[in-house]
Amino acid sequence: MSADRAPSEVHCGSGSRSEGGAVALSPQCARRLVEHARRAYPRECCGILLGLTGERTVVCEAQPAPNLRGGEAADRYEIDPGEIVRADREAEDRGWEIVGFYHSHPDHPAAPSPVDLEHAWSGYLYLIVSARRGGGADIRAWVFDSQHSRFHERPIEARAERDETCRDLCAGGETTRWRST
Amino acid sequence: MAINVRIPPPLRPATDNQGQVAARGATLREVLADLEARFPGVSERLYDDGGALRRFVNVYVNGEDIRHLQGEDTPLKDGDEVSIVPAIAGGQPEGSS
Repeated sequence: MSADRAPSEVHCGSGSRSEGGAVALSPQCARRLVEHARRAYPRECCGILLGLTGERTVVCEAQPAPNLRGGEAADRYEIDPGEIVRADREAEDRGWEIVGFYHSHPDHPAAPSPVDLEHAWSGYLYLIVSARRGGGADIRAWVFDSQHSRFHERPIEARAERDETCRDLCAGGETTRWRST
Repeated sequence: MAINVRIPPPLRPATDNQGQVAARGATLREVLADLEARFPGVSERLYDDGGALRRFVNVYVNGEDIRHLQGEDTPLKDGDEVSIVPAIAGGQPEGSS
């Protein structure tokens, strides 16, 4: 992490959403997303991302959520808004916030679909997990630009789990480049 | 009476980037009107042209969906919490699965 920077100089948490920054995701979180996508395969899965937003968006925890649309179609998802309300309170209690959401694309690229675009909101991070029949998986990060009605991709960086806290990373701590599975 | 309104990130550009706002009113309708009075422009993101709450906007009072309460007529008291929650949905292209 960068020792020359006092945390107080950097804004983390609500009100400082940096949509242009990279995304820090621990290997543990990444594994959890991939495992959820594989369990749900060939249906879509979805969940809520808790963390902090500062110089980068740090995903501290990924919480699987029930897919409200899972019963009617394999290729749709909708997160129960009640789960979002609950996660929002939990995030606040833990000094975090909801930074975004994730969902899977079984046998499709980890890129937003036209349906994703239709339902997109600015201000959130969207992680998409591509889950393939053979077990391969890939995670990519996107933010929605409401002015131009399009998604922009954000780089994902892996963070070490033992020696970095979410807040350190949010304040500009170092990460290593993420390699997809 | 002060009601805490939790504002989701997509709406924060309209509330000076505040994630929580204290508003006043005896019903949800009054609280949302107070929000608009203090942050002009919020309403057009919450309501459609017909004056109904948008389909993709969910509102919860103390963790309960207002569709299961009294909608915008839901009475509120000091210390209650209103959460505005966008519908988070999507999926793959039609017929992809």
